[in-house]
Amino acid sequence: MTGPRQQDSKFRERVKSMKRLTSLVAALLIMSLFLAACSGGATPETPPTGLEEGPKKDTIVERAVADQQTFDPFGTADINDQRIHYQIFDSLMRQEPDGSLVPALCTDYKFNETGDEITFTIREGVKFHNGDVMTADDVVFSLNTAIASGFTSKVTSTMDRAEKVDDKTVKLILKYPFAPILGCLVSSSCAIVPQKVYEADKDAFGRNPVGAGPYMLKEVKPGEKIVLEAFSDYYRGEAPIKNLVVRIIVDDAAALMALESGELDLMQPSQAYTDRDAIINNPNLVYYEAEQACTFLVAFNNVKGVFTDKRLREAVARAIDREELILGAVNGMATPVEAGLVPITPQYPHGFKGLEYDLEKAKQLVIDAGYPNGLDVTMRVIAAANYTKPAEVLQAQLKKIGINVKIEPMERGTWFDVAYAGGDYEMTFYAHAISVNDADFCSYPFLHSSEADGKGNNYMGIKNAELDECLEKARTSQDEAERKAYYLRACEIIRDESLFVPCYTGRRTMAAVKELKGVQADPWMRYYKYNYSW
Amino acid sequence: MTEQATVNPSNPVKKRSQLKAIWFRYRKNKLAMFGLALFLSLVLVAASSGLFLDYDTQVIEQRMRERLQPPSSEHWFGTDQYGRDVFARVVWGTRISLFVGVFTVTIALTVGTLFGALAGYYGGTVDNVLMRIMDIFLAMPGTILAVAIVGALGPGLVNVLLAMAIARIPQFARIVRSAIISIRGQEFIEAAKACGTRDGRIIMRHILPNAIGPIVVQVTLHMATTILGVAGLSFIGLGIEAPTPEWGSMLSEAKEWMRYHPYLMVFPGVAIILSVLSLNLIGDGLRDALDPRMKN
Repeated sequence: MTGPRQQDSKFRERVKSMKRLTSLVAALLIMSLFLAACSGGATPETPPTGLEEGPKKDTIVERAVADQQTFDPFGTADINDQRIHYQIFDSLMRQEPDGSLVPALCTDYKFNETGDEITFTIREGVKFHNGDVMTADDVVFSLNTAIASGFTSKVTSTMDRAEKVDDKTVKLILKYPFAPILGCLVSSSCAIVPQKVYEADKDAFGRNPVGAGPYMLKEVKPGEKIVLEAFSDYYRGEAPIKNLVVRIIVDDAAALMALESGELDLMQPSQAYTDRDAIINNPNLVYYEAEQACTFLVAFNNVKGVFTDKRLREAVARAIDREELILGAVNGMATPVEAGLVPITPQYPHGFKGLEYDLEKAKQLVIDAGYPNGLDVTMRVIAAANYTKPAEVLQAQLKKIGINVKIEPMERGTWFDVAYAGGDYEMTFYAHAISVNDADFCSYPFLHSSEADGKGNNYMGIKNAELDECLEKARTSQDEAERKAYYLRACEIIRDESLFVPCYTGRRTMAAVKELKGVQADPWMRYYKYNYSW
Repeated sequence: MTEQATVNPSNPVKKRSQLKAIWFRYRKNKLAMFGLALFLSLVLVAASSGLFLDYDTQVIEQRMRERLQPPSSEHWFGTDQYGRDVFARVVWGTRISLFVGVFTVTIALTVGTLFGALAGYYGGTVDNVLMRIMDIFLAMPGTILAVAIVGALGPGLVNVLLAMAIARIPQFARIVRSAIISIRGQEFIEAAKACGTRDGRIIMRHILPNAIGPIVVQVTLHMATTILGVAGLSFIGLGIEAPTPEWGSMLSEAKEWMRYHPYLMVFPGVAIILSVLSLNLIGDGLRDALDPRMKN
């Protein structure tokens, strides 16, 4: 009969340990609050030495928000992946810090008279990371692989094929004359890779890339870091910064603390702009800002689901208060966008008015569409603050017109697979980013019917004959004024059909320790680390 | 042994006096009384919040132009990043957290007691099979198990409730089983058996009431851990979805602003501490009050 006693004493212990645990949690919470409150005004101590990899002066530690999905330049459309591709691969053309385009892996280029063929003279003696010398075959192979890939269609859709003329010359044949083509060739989607290595095993290449860029991949620790080291045989000379460590820090606040404590040298601050003032006021850091080369928007699935009904799309378009959205989503650090293009492109119709904000009309439209009691929709978004926060504001705004939004945050890669490529979503919040400063890049790939059904980037499944025609003509026309007129018409169609709802464009930002030179906020997110130095 | 006999609920007069005695002992414990008062006031807040707060216009409606205001006479706890009143949200959160706590523990208690009672009473193969199943669940840390279940089912109130409940069933099953094993061999049970009482009645009428002490204490303590657990799940984005004002998700939203607007974090944090603390104090007090050795 000792049973109950024993059990009781055990039980007593358990209660005690539970008590202890609870008080510990409480104490931690309180402590963290105090720490947080105290650290606000204090300037960070001098960075701890000896913690960084190797001597400080030839290493940069920067931050990535997510793991690299692939190192294959033709296997991704994700700007996050491409940031590292720009360090590993070089292309035929390069953009200088002042924005000008200069030959990179070619020494010379020449357009034919009609403007639909470009002849490149290949730069001699360029070595890949594996020691092989770049040949005209590599260039032809790379361009043709890029043209064939679905991921790269944003920049390659105007290219027809590449041909080898002789050992030093390569000809790129376009489908039609296309003015911004040189800008396309800057993109890492048109990177030059060694044919032999890529062909041998494409998947292995995605893990162990070989390029002709200034940095080579040294080490990948998933969820932790990516390490690059300078390529000593780089054709422009070895990079001033020898080691590049990209640490994967998902949490914005943790990343900022790492930057302030000196663990990071460089990072793109939270796109919610909560930390803007803290960085600006920190004497050890410099805050860089530039316009963002993208437009954030509410996208609908135009192929299946409730939003195939134009009335519901229009209801959403009329229920969005952009100013409130900007305040809630990005702390007010954005400019409202009403036309369906990216505002920094030369063809953007400034002064264009979207559908007027009108809650009554929006409510009526929902009723007309057959939902007098409202409806439930799911909004799949990438699980990052720059998508989930606007989603929450939209959720509140759409509730007012009877659309009950359930937000489903997804890991970035999963979202790309399921929603973007798979087309399995009802509505989403996304950004149309451009890699070349021309309206074509934020319209044709996303909106033309030839890019729909998983063939390209038309993840919304938009198929509108008149829009197609506008985009085609705008693309081939050589007359800037005429192109502008076509894009204006395209914006009108987007608005009148409520194909999607453009919302705002934010600011590209960069924060770096003040000693690091050569940093700038780049609307194109290329961040050539070759230009950086201590 | 005589102690157990006096607790026998079949004698209503003695039962009342027993309850009285427990209350008498509980009342002497000041901390426990404080916990009880705290908990009752939380219940009151939760129950009455529906009367003076309108969910759609005061709890979840965003007023962007009033965002991030510090506490004032108009907004007692300030406003959050979407201009929602933090006071209203914390108060409404009481409802959610208490509901989750009570509901989860009820499911876990019912299922756990059933399993534990069957295993403890019948012993042998039934005991072995049931308890090995429970051991499988026990082998996994509760939070991890809950995360796995929510991960599989997707976030949402119902799924979180299920996940938390499932994670807690084995604890209850074990407590009930061990209590029953210690009771089932006693004379009054044999007497009941000899009278031809059915097994179900013996378990429900004669055994469980005698095992109620540790179960009640477990209930209060598990409610506390459940509230913490749900807050934890919501904090990592696996719990109750936005814009429902759950304390954990409020903390998670406030995290981003911690450096600049710390009050956003203080109030839901304090709410969690108070509710968990009150339940723990009650559990402690009850344990002492129910302990037969502490008899005056």
